[in-house]
Amino acid sequence: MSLNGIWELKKIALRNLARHKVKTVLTSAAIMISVAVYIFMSSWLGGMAVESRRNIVNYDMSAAKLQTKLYFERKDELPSYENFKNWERYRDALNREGFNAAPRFVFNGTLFSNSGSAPMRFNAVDPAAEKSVLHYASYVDFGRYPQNGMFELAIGTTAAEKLRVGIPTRPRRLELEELIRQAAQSDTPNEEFIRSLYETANMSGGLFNVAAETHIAGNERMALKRNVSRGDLDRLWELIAATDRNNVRINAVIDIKAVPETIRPTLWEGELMTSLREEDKELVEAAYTYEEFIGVYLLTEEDEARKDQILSAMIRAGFRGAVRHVNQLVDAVVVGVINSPDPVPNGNIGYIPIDVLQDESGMMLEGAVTELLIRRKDAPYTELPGADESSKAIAAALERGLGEPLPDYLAVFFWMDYMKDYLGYEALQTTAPQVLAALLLFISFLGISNTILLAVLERTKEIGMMRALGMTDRQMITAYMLEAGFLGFIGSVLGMILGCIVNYPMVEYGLNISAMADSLGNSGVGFRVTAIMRSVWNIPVIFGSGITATVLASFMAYFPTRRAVKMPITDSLRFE
Amino acid sequence: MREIHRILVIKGVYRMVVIKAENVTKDYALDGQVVNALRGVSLEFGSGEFSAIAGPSGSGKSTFLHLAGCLDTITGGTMTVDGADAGKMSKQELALLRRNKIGFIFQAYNLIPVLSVEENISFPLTLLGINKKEIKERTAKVLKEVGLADMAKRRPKEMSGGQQQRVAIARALIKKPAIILADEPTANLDSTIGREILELMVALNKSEGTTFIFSTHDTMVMDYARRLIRIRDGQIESDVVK
Ligand SMILES: Nc1ncnc2c1ncn2[C@@H]1O[C@H](COP(=O)(O)OP(=O)(O)OP(=O)(O)O)[C@@H](O)[C@H]1O
Ligand SMILES: [Mg+2]
Repeated sequence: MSLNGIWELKKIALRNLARHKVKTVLTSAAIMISVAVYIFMSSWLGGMAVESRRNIVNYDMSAAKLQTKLYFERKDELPSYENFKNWERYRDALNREGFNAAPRFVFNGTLFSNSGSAPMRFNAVDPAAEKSVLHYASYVDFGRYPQNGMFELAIGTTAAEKLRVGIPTRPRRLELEELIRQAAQSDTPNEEFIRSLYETANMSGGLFNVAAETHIAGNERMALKRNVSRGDLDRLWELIAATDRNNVRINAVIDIKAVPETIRPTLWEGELMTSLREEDKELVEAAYTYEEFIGVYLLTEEDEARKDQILSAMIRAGFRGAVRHVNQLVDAVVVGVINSPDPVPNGNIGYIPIDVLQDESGMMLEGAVTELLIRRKDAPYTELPGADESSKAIAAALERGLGEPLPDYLAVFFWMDYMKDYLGYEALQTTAPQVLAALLLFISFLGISNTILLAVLERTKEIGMMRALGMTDRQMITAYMLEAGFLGFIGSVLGMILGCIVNYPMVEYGLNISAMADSLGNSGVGFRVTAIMRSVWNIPVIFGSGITATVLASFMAYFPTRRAVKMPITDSLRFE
Repeated sequence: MREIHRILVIKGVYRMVVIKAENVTKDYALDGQVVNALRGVSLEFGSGEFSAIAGPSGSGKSTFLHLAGCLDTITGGTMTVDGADAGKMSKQELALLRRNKIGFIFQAYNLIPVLSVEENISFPLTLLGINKKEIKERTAKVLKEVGLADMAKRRPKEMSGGQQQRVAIARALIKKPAIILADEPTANLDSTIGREILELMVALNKSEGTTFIFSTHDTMVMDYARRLIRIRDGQIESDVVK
C-alpha cells in the first residue's frame, strides 16, 4: 500500500474518532485509568522492592562479605567450621582502601530464658565495627547494644516476645502482675509507674476481633501504651533488668577447623597420608614429629601462615581430625531488643560481643571468624551498593591493601550472591499485584474491543462501499487497527501523564506506614512498623505500559475487522 | 489470464468488449432455501455503451450489476471483466480490478460520512496512490463537471439527495474507469433532478467514452438508454439496441 493510502486511512481513523466523541472519551479514559494504575502499582512495588533490598543491605548483609569459598558453598547450613583466622590483616587492608570491615562468627544454637527456649542464630560481633557497616544498632527499641568484654546479648523482638525477655509489649494481665511483683519489689511508686505504662488492649479498634479472650479473668490482653517516653522505657528496663528476667543461657555446638595438635599413628597412616595430595604431603610431614615416648605425631610448626596452609591441605583431603567440636553453655544477659525495618535482626537472632567468646569461658573461637562484613566508609544509607562496592571492586581494593593476592580459599561475595533465593521470592511477590493490574488493563481492552466491534458493525455499509471502491482487506484491517491504536495512544499518553502525576508525591514524599498503622489502633499489628514507603520511577515500565497499551489496543481491532471483510461485499451493502 | 479483447459491432460501431457474461447463474441461500437470482444470463457490453437493465423488482438486476462489478462471486458460468476471468481471481486481485477499472453508483449513494465532498470524490485516487497535486486538479475538474464546485468542503449529510448522488457520480468518474455500474441511480430522486443526473451521465459518456450500465424501473432512464435489456426471473427477456 502506498504511503498516501496510509495517510488517508489515518485521516479516516481520526475523523471517526472525532465523530464518536463520547465513545472515544470513555474508551480512552478506561485505558488512561488502567495505564495510570499499572504505572502507579509497578512504581509502588518497585519502591517496596528497593526498600526491602536497602533494608537487607543496611541491616543484615552490608555490601559484601569476605568468606571462605567453602562457607559460601554451604552457607545455608551456617557451616561454622569453614572459618578463617588472621582476619585483622584483611580488615586493616580494607580500612586503608576506604572500606569498613566487621568480623563475625556466626553459629546456630539454642537460647534459654526463665520462661522457655528458642533456636537462634548467633552473631558474635565486634560492636564498634558492626555499627560501622550496619545500621540496625540504632533500632535497639529497649535497652542498649552489647559492649565489648561483657557477656551481653541484643536479641530480635520476636525472640524477646517468645522468650519473655525484656519489656513485654502485649502481656496478659496475670503476666503483667507477676512482672510488677518482681520488678517493683513492693515499692508502691514503682508499681504505679509500671501500671501507668500499660492499658487494656483496644480490641474493637484493631484489625482482628479477639474480644472473646477477655471473658477469662486475668487473661485480658494488655498493651504497652504508644506514647511512652524514652526516659520511662529506660526506667522500666532498669527495673526489669534488676530481676532475672533478662538472664539467658546460650547452648551451642561449634565446629572449628583447626590443625590438630596431636595425631594418632593409626589415623596418620590409615587416613591422613592416604588421602593427602602428593604436593601437600611434604608440607604436613615437615610440620609434625613422631614422639616415640607418647606414641603420637606432635605438631611442631609455629608459623600461623604455614599452619593455615596445612589446615587447607587437610581440609582438601577431607581429613576428619581437622575439625574440633566445641559444645559450650554460656551465661549471658539480654541488654537490648532490636526492632529494625528489616525482619532479619528482629527475628530469632542474638548479637554478642566476639571478644568474650575467644577462650574456654566462651566458645573457644581463638581468633576465628566466619565472615567479614564490608561496606564503603561513606556509603550512603539511601542507596544500594553500586559498582564501587561490587565483589570485584572490593576484592581488588583488598589485594591492593594487602599488597598480595587473596589466599585462594577466601573470596569476596556481593550481597546479591546471597540473595538469589530472596530475589526470586521478591519477583514472585511482585507478580500477583502486577497480574491484578494487568487484569485491569485487560478489562479496559475488552472496552476497546467492544467499541471497535460496535464501530465495525455500525459501519458495515461504509466498509462494503470502501471495498467496492477497491480497498483491499489488508488496508481495511490497517485502517481499523490504526483507529484503535489511536484510541489506545490517546489513553496511553493521558494514562502515562496521570500515572506520573499520582506517582510524583509517592516518590518525593512517600507514604508514612507507621502513621497508618497507628490509625488502625494499637492492637492488630503485632509489631512496630517504622518505614516510610516510597515509590520509584521506573521509566521502562512507564513507556512500556504506554506502548503495550497502544499496541494491544490496535490489535483489538484485528479480529472484528477481519470478520467484517470476510463478509461478501453485497451483504455489507445490503446491511441495515 | 487476459484474453484478447473481443470486438463487438453494434449498429455499425466497433466496440471493445468490456464485460462478457456467459451463462451466468447466481444462487443465494436464504433461510435454508435456495434463491435462483440469475438463471443463465449471457450478455456482452462494449466500451462506450450506455445501456439500461430493466425488470420488475426481484428479477435480478442488482445481482447482475454486482457480479459484473466483481462485488460477489458467481455460482455458475463465466464472467469476464476487462478481459480477465473474475472467477479465477483472488480477493486481492478483485479489489485491484475494482480499484482500477470499475466505478459504482448506488441508489443509496453510500458516501463516507466522515469525509468532505472533495475527500469522498478523491478517495479512489488516493487508493490508486496518485500524487496530491494531481488529485487536487482532477477533483476540482470533476467537481465542476458535476456542478458542485462550491460545495467541496461540505459533509454528505449537509447535502440534498440529488447533490449526494452527484458526489457519488463524481467519485465513480474521477478515476476514468472503463465501466460505471449504476444501480438505480435515480430511484431516490424526483424526476427533475433525476433528469439532470441522467443528462450529466450522457454528457460524460459522450465526452469520456465511459461505459455505463444502469439498472432501473424508471421509464425516463429507459428512454435515455441506447440499449435496453429486459430481465425477468433471472433470465434475459429482450435486448434491444435503439
Ligand atoms: N444477498 C442475498 N441473499 C439472499 N437473497 C438475495 C440476495 N440478494 C438478492 N437476493 C434475492 O435474489 C433475487 C434477485 O434480487 P435483486 O436484488 O437482484 O433484484 P432486483 O432486480 O435488483 O430488485 P429491485 O428492483 O427490488 O432492486 C431476489 O429474489 C432477492 O430476494
Ligand atoms: Mg435492485
